[in-house]
Amino acid sequence: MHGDQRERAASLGRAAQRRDHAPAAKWSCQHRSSSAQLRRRASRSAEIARRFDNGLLKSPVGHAGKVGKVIALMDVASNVTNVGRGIDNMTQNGVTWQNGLQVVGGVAGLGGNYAGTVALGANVAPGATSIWKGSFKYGPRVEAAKTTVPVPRGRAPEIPSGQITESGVLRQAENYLGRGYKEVSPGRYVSADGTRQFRYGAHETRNPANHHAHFESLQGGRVTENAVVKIVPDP
Amino acid sequence: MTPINDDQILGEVDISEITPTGKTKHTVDGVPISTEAKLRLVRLLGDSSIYLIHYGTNDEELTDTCHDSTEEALEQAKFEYGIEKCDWTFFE
Repeated sequence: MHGDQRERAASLGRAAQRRDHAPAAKWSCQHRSSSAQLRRRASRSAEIARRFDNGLLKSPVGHAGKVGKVIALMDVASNVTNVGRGIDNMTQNGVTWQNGLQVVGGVAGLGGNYAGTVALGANVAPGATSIWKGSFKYGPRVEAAKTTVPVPRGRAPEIPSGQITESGVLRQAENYLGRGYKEVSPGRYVSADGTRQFRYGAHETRNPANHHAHFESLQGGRVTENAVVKIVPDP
Repeated sequence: MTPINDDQILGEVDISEITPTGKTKHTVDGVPISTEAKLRLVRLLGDSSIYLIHYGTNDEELTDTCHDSTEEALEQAKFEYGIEKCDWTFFE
């Protein structure tokens, strides 16, 4: 299996596991489906994902005539549509996809054996070019879109208030910013989603009588909440 | 963070008669600040960022926000007080 395919297969396998373990309550809240429906959908989604994972693209011995070629597949449960060339082994494997256009959750990519970036240009029907603009890249972009199950998120951390000890300020900052934060300028850190900022630079520390830090909320590049927290020596 | 020494004050505006938009909440040690009288744009020595510093009625510094450019700092001031660039007095 090609390296990209292995990564894709592994990623799809992970996606299948996420679906298998997806909390039914989250789905039912959004789509108003019964638990039984949700389990069936999750199972079907996982099944298709495992097809890619196994890479079963051959007819098994003794099943000649039971394998047909298919040109399109739409799995409404997992919101995946494949168009191109696939194989349906009715006896054992079910549908497997060799190559073609894949649409997942409204995002298009290339499924099956394609690798790299392929621009859709002159060969695309005129009616479709208004939809498919630019290049479609096989890889993480498609995989990210496959996660149709809402990912539960915790509450945004609250802005600290009052006083913080010197040894506690960085821990508080990391809790506030969460994973993936970046230092956008010296002493200025922004969370991965761009909604929280922590400032603790030279100007916050240059006056010993006013040693402080800023915990801020951002919306559209504007500061909507700015909490100055005094930093005191450790006891 | 009061401007000191070679910190460069770029502009100033009186906001004592202006009602804040309420879009930004400032607190110090958990207490909301009030009675803001003046805003200043300041570039600190050795720091390329622009600070929008809020002062109280006794010219004491209350808080600040940090921005990549003067224009962004002005936008923040507009966001908080509805003041335009023409309301500012610039010193450079």
